[in-house]
Amino acid sequence: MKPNPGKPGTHASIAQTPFLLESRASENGVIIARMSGSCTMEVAESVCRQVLDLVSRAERVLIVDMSNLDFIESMGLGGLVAGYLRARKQGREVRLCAPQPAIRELLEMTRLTLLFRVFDSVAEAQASEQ
Amino acid sequence: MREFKEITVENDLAAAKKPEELILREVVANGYCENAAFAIKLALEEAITNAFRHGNKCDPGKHILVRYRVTHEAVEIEVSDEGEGFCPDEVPDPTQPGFIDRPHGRGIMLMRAYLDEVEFGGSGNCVRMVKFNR
Repeated sequence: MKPNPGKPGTHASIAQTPFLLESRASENGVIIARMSGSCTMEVAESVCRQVLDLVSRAERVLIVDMSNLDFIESMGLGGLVAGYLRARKQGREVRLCAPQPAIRELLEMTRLTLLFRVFDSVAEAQASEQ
Repeated sequence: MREFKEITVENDLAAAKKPEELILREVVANGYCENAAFAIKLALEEAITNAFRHGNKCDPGKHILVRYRVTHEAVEIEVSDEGEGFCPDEVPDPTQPGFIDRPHGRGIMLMRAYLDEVEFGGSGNCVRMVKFNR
């Protein structure tokens, strides 16, 4: 599988936007984490630790809102996988939502869509049954 | 024929952003599309992370060498470390059952998926990557 060759664009993914991970508790043991900017190699290890911490704090589900995430490399993806593994062990779930097209393609290419349920919006992820 | 440029950085992920920024600046200036720029950035980060972590074993006393040439036709990048190298054929395919839920091991697969040519040279401590401008 090869990625979409694409068209000329704004090059937002290489703009080196600082990475930010913000979270808030929702109802029924759900935490919503919002990733934004670029998850690059120098922040990926820290992102991994933050995801694991959020999984431990979420009593039921961690929803990761990727709508403002413009880049993620393999260590960052590995952080999500580590979160998935911890969540599975503890009977919880990590749900991904609203990835931008390039990030969705990355999730599909690595077949991480077999591990995670990917929703179009946070509302859909919240409404879904476990 | 444009000459290769080269930059040597300390074995540090923050320091290694410098060659990435220089290359991506030229990529944009040469009219590569957004997806191609994304692919080059991703492959470069994977190659540098591998050099830092697996090649140089996170040793701050070692260095990473990046050689590159950006033209309207293609981007060529070589990333070398001071490690002993490895055999890429021995790295399992992370998309196969049994490996998908491993947190590590996706870097080489992503380089190969996103770029047009990926070759490991020397004793496996140098990776050469090419992305054509289509």
